[in-house]
Amino acid sequence: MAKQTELGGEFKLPGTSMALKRMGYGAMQLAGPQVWGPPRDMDGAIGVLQEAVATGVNHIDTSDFYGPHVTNQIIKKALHPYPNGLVIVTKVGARRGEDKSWSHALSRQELIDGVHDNLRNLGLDKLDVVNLRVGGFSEPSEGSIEEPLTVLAELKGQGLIRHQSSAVS
Amino acid sequence: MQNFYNVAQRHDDGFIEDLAKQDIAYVPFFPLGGFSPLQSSALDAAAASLQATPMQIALAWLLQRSGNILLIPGTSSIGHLRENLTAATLHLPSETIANLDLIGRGSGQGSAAATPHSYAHVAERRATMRTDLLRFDGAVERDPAIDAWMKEHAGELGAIAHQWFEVMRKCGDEVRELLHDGCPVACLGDVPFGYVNVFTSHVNVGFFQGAALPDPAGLLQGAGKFMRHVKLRPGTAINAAALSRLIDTAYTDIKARVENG
Repeated sequence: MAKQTELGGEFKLPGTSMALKRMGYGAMQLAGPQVWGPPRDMDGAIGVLQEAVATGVNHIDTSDFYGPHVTNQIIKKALHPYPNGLVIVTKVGARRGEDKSWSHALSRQELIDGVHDNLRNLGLDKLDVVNLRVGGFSEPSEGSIEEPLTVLAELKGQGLIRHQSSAVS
Repeated sequence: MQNFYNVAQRHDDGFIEDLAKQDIAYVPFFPLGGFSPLQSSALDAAAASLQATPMQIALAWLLQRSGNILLIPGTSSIGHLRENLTAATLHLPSETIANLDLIGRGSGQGSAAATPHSYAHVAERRATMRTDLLRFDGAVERDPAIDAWMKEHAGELGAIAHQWFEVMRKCGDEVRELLHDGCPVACLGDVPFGYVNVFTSHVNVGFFQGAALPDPAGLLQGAGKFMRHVKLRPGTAINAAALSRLIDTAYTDIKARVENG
């Protein structure tokens, strides 16, 4: 039986030096209801993140469209300057409407803005891992992901992304 | 790669294995999402037997499923965080894994690819599914818990659920009912054929053997091996004749299974 601190062991992201504990933490629920606005309990949200990292979690999944912006700002407040070995995985490709809806944001400019929003709100010069969100939560959408992936590859070339992951549904 | 995958939603089974061969991480979300009432109760049973929570079992199952699966359970509570992290220490015995694999059987690769409605296909399913009929203890002619449920769900959505559950009740003299895992369920004797459930903005009218029902109007949703549901939203036109026919057919179909099985 594994010890809790092992958190299910590690998975090394191929082609990188990043080794993720298999049990990570998803930050989506840190924002307010419907992943919108500030949390009811800001100190509680910060405490959860700090406890997760203190317990050994080194993989935090987030996005700048959670909140929007709010979730990343909480992560920065709770954990910045980030400890060595912590991998923050974020994603781009969606935006939120005033009515709290989720829409695709896969145009070149939207992806560039998405990466910069993440950098700014997380307080980073370089994002560890960026996922591209292409589907909805239940229905996969059609359409080529080649162009968005090309844009992300360019941003990686500019040194803004360490590891660009593949599609997220 | 991130996608919707868990004990009950196993469309990505084959894909995960392909990714594992290429050393690519797979990050499932919604570890408890999309469970039918029956699947939830099977998970609850596994959890009770290991003195863990259903969420812990769902997470431990994913960790044991494949080494390239990474988990990102979220919560805003320290208590739930600790509970989630402790799931990594749970070792699920092979017997529990086997039971949990039964939950998701049918939502895996292959079965989701096609929903043919040929009678040959239905007959083949019948032949292979004889022993698989679910049976619920405690179904009665009239379950007061269902009437209470109807009162609790008094709004527009509740009214829709009520209307269609009444259609199930009227299918025949042998219809029995019970409230199972929070949903009114209609049975033929002790074999369930239909249920209704209310969500935040829609109602599901579900069929336990829905995958085998002819559905010329294309109302049924879901990709599992057995269950299908029809989603009803207030203010959206309902093909009432087609849904009534589906309910009738579901009852007749279950009757045939019970009698021939």
